[in-house]
Amino acid sequence: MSLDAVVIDGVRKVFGRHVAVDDLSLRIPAGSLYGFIGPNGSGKTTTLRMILRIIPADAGSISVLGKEGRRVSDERVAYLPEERGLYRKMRVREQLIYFGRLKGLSGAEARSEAESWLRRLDLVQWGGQKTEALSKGMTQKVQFISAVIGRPRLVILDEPFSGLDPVNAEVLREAVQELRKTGTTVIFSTHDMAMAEKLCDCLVMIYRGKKVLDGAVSAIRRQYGSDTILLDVENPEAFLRVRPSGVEILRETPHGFELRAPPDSQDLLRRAMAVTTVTRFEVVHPTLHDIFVRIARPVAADATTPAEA
Amino acid sequence: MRWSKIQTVALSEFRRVVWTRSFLIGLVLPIVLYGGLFAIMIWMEGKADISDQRVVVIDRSGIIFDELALRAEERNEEIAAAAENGRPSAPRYLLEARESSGGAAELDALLLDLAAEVRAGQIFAFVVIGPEIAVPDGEASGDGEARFIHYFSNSPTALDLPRWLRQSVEGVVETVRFVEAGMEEERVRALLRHAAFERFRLPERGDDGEIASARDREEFAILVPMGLVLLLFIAVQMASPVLLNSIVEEKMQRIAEVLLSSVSAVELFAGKLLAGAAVGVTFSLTYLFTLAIAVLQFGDSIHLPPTLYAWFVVFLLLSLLGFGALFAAVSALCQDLKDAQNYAGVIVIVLMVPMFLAIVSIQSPTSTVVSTLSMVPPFSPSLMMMRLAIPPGPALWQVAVAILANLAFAVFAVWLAARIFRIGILSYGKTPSFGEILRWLGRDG
Repeated sequence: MSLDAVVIDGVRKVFGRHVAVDDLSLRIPAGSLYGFIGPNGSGKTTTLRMILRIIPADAGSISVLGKEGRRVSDERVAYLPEERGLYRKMRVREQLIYFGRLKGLSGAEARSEAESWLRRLDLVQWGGQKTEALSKGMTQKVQFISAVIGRPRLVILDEPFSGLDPVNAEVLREAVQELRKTGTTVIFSTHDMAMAEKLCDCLVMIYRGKKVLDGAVSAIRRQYGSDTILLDVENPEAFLRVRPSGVEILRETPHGFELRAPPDSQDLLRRAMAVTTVTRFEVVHPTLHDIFVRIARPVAADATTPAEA
Repeated sequence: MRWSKIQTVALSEFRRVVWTRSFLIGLVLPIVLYGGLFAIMIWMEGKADISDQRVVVIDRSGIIFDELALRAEERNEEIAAAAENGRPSAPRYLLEARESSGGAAELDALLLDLAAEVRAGQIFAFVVIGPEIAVPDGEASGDGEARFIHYFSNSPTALDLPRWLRQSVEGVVETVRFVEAGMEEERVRALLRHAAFERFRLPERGDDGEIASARDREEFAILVPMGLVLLLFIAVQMASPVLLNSIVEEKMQRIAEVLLSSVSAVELFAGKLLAGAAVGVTFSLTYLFTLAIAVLQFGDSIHLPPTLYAWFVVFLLLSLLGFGALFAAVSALCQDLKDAQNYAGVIVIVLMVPMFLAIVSIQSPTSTVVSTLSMVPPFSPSLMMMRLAIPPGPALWQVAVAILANLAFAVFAVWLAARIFRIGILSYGKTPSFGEILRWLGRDG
C-alpha cells in the first residue's frame, strides 16, 4: 500500500481561457498535516475540489487513498467547503447525526460521536438550535464536526480558520492536531501564512495555478536560510544613510527594520553601531509570508512582462 | 447503489418536510376549514329563513292568478306536511293579486308603490304577467311583447321563488292553452302531471339473489373523479418543494459537495425522489381518507369503491416518480430557487393539461381523444384515474397499457434525471445550454 494519501501527477484545469491549475504534481504523505497556501484565486480550492473529484481534471491523474477514478463518493474522505455546507433550517444535533449516518455510522454511533464532538468543541448547549441561529464561529465548528464525524482517513478543510476569532481558531487548531494524532491525513487550505506555519508538517504553495513551493515547513525555512534580521535602532534615519547596498528592507517595524542581508551580517551591525545605538539585532528564519513574497514577486514580474512588452 | 444510504437520505428529507409546523398546518388546515364550512352549510340549511314570502301578482291577462294561487297553496300544504319536528324546510309563498287595468302611467305608479313596499319589508317581491301571456304564437298582437313575466325583488340571490314562479306560470299557461283548444281542464292537469326523476346505477343481482340498483347522485358522480384528478395534481405539487428547495439549497450552500463525499449522486437523487414521493403519498392519502369519510357519510360507497383507492395509489406513485424525477433534474440544472421555479413552471403546465381536459372528459370519458390521452404519459395518470372513477370505467387492457406506458415514462424520467442530476448538482455558474445537457447525458461515470 502507498504511504501517500494523495498523489497528484501533472494535473491541469482550465476554466474557459483561465488556467486555474497548471501541471501540478504533489505527494501528500498519509498521516500528515498538509497545508495549501497561497493568495485568493491562486488555485487552492480548485485543486482540493479535484482531489475530491467534485470537478474533473483536464489532464493528469489524481490518486486518493490508493484509488483513481471519477467517482466522488468515498466514505473514507471528508470535506469541509469554504462556504457553509450546512442546512440552515436543520438543528445542529440532527444535522451531525445525519452526516454521521451518511458516512456509514449506525444511528447510535452517530449520536454518540455527535455528542462527543459537541462536548469537545463546547457546543452542547447549541445542539438543539437551528444552524441559522448560530454565530459564524459556532457554525464553523459545527461544520468541522460534520466533516470529521465519520472518522474519515482523509479530511480536506477549505479555509477552516477564515473569519474565526483567535479563541475559536485555537480551539479548531487543537481539534485538527488531535485528528492528526489519530492517524488521519489532514489537508487544509489557507491564505493565513502564520496559521499554516504554526500547524503544518508540510505545505505546498500555489501561486497563479502553479506550485511554487513544496515540502516540510522546517526544510523550507532552512532552504531559505537565515538572512533575515530584525534590527531596532534609536536613529533609523542615520542607519539608512549608512545602509550597505546589498541590504533589502523588507518592512519597517515600530523601532527599526526587518531586513534581508547578505551572509556577512557583522558588517551591517558595525555600520549601524557607528551611527546610532542598536537596541536589537536578531538573526531569524524568514517567515512563510516573506518566503511567499520572495517567490511570488518574480513570478508576478514574469507574468506581466509579455503584456507590458 | 447502497439502499442504507438512500434510506438515510429519504428519511431525513421526509422528516425535514413533514415534521414542520407549516406542512402539518398545510395538511390539516384545509381539511378543518372545508370540513368546517361543510358542517356550517349543513347547519345553515336547518337555520334557513323560512318566514312567509308575500308576493304581489299583477295579472294583466286576468286568467293566471287564480290557478297560480291554487298551486301556491298546494305547495305550501306539501311543505307543511313534509316538515320535520314541526319546522318546514322552505318558506310559504303567499300570493296577493293587485289590479292594474289602466294605462302605462298607472302601472308605473303601481310598480313604484310596490317597490317601496318591498323596501319596507311588507312584501318580498312582485310580478307582472303580460296581458297576452297565454296567447299562442301567430295569434299574439305585435311581436308578442305583451307575453311576458316580469319579476321584481330586492333579493337577487333568492332563486327558489323566481324559479317556482316561472315553472308555475308556464304550467298554468300550458293548461289554459289546452283548455282553450277544447280539452277538459281535469284531463289536461292529468296529462301534464310529470313523474319523479331519480338516477340509478345499472341493476345487479346481489349475494342474496335479489336484483338491486344503487341510487346515483349527480354531485358525487362528478365530485369523485374531479376530486381524484385534483388530488393527484396537488400531491405532485406538494412533492415538488422537497425536490426544488432542498436541491437548490444544497447546491447554493455547497452542502451537495459535502453529501457527495459520502453518497453517490444517484443514491442522493434516489433518496430525494423517494422522500418527495412519500410526501405526496402522505398528503394525498390523508385527503383520500377524508374524502372517503365524506362520501360514506353523505353519499354512497358506490361512488368510491375500494378498487378505486388501489388504482389511485398506483397512478399516484407513477405520477410522483415521473414528475418528481423531472423536478429533481430541473433543480439540479438551476443556480437559484427563482430559476428553478421558472423551469418547474413548465412541468406544472404539463401537469395542468388533464385538469383543463377534465370538464370535457367527465362528460365524454370514452371519446377517442380522452381514451387515447388517458394512455399517453404524462397526461395519462390523471385522465385514466378520472375514467376509472366514472362507471363503467375503461377497458382493462386500456388500464394495463396506461400502467405500462407510465411505468416506462417513470423509468425514462428517472434515468434521464439521474444522469442530469449527478453532473448538474455540482455545476455552478450558469444554467447549462441544451447542448451541454445532451453532453451530460452521454457522459459516463
